[in-house]
Amino acid sequence: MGVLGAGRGKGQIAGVLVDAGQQERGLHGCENLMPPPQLPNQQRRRGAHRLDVALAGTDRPGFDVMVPHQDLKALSGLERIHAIEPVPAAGVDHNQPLHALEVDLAGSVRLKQILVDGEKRLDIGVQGFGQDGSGFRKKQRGGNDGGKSVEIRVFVRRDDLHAVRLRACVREAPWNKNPRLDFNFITSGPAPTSTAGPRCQGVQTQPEVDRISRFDNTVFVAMAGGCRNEQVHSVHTGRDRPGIVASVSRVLFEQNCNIENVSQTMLQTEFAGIFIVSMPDGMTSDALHREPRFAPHAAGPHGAHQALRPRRGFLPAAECEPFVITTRGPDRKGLVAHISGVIARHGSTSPTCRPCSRAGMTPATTS
Amino acid sequence: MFKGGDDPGDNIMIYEVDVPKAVDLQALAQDLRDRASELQLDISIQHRNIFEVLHRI
Repeated sequence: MGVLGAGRGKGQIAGVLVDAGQQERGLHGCENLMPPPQLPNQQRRRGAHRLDVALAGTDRPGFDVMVPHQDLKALSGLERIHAIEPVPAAGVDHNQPLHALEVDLAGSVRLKQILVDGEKRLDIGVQGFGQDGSGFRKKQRGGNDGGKSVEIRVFVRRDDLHAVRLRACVREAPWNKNPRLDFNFITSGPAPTSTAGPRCQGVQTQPEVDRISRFDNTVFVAMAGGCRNEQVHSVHTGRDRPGIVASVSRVLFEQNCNIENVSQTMLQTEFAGIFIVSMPDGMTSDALHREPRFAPHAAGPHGAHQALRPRRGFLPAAECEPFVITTRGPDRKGLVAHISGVIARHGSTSPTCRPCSRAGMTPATTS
Repeated sequence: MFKGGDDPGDNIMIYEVDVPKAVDLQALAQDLRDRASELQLDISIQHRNIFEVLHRI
């Protein structure tokens, strides 16, 4: 199992993408959880704590794992038990009991186990998404089991189910014991036939954020790169706020895309992220262009998408020496253009350029 | 940050550059100094190892 990419911005883990290997098939959601710096008043009154992978500076509650339907099926061999009638478990509310998930089904394939160390109470939310955006919700409240483990079993019947979101909320968590939440997929069904192994995607999102419609001041950035021709790079920019990576990755996920790599940075207050995405067969980057949640009028994090050119072998890297060039002087237009132009004319690679703080950074005037 | 204005201390820019060994370092450095002089900039060109040693806390 390998981590495909992890994003971090302004002190919080924005998303964790995990490629579950064929043998281990584990999706570890997050580690080293820290207490949320400040809980909403309502939660404080109830004495409730929520799992939060935030490291600092944010109060995003909850932890979600998005699992593509096909991966659930591959993990559990659900194809062969589709005909089994679901048996609703007592105490579970079913909004649409004939569709979607049944929790704690007796005799079903053991699909999912959530292990929480040192917790007293665990609420599990299960939410499914159809291709048409329809959904359903289930809630499973774990008992006071001494804080060892809670196992829920998920049974997927709806054919058009696109994804399943699993959400955990821990109450009265002894944060000082550094709790850890692991999502483990354990299957007793037949091994999946896919040689590539299933891919799962874990995304931490704010529970109320279902659409990426909360971003503004966005611009387009287009870049080029070289990779396999079925891949695209997807560049998204927008004013930084919690959940950008989660929201973008969710849209890509709902488009059946797989994020191969993510790079992100902050340019002053603006978030900029580059996603290399593998698309399913038959899909082109036009589909991402048509994605309404990336459209300019949607006020979302605008994206620019371009198919990557096939790689035609690697160019031999020239042997280089790293240098640091520091300039200090009055500001004027074109400083970077002038200096980088000289550097480029001598055949050096494009410099990484950054302005720096004044404090303690007065450069030595040697050369 | 890069504050702008005419105070030299307010405007410091650092470039990290990979220079191929085939490049004439003296020529590169002279060109950079000439251009920096035109722009009224003080310029420092250091190997990264030297830079890091000098700026290590």
